[in-house]
Amino acid sequence: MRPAPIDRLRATALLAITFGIAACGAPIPSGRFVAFADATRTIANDSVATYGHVVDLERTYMLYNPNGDKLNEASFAPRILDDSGRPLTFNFEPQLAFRSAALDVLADYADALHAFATKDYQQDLDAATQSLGASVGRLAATAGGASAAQAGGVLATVINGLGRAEIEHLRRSTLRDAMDKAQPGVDTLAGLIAGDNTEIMIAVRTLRKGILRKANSLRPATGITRISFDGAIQGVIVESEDTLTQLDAMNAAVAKIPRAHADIRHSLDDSASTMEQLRALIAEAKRLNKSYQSTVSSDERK
Amino acid sequence: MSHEVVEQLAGLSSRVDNLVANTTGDACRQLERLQERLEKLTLAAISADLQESQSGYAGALSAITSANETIGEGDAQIQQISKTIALIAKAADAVESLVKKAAAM
Repeated sequence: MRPAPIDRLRATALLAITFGIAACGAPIPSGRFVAFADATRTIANDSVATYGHVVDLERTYMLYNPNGDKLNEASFAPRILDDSGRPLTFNFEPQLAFRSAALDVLADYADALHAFATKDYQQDLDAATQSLGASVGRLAATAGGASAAQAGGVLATVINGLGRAEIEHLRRSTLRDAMDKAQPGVDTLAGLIAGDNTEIMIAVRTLRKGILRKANSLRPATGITRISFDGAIQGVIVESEDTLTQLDAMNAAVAKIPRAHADIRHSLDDSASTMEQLRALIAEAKRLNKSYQSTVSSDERK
Repeated sequence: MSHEVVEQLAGLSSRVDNLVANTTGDACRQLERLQERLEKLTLAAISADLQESQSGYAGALSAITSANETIGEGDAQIQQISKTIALIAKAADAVESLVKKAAAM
């Protein structure tokens, strides 16, 4: 005998409530937050070495193309003198410091989300919040402009507001709100970092070209001196090529951070989410790290 | 931020480099000096984070484009080398002025 319609309705409602409770009570998928934090930290850490190579290349360029004929304290300062002798600088360190600080803010923010997503989180969250605050301060002190400082401030405010939430479903809902509020800040910072990558790559090619141009006019005619000289130039070419590869890989990875963030946020509503964007970010971070590790190994062999 | 002036300027620097190889004497020396100046101006322009909205941006871009078009690929013999050198110098002056304005902002 078929159950009465009212009984069927009751049974359906009971099933829906049971699933609802199960969804609310399901643990937060903290592994995704770990993976997001790890990938973002890898990008931030590897960027320090890559940006260091750009600064090294700038120094080498100035060694080959010093200012003026006579050596003095300003001979190797990265600058050009205008018609009236006033210097115009092309020191890339401040620009690179901004990018590095912005990546640290994103990595610290990801660490804080990871801490909050796990049980017994309070101590780790406190540490991550302090680290984020310091990175946002460093970002504000760099030449990144108001929009970068503002975006960093948004992330710090969101993390400061996480507070205590002992019950699992309250933590899930707090995470949802936090990530929704943080998404524009994540978008802005990643966009600013990735946006000027083209120009940094042009700078690397221009510096390399300038070194080669001067090297050709200085190249010893024959013998072991020539081989030794060529060896130094070969080192510059190889290293600059590695730097270009790493800048490219870094850009591809940074561009994936906002979508991976949105992906994880979506998974808090839909546990069956495929996490494609997060996987793409992890793949790019691995590619970057592989390129970085191969450069480190090659440096160690020298 | 705008990449156009920087990209065009890097292209001009590269073309002038080719031109140096195809010239001799005083013209060659002038071009060598201009090439180094353009190279450093490219770096200064990147460092200055130029904006399209900046006054003088369109004029600088037009001067660079004009010099690039006159040189072409830089392989062929340039008929009026002194005119070409003047165009390159004009482009370099326009960029220098733009970078100075950006630095002063």
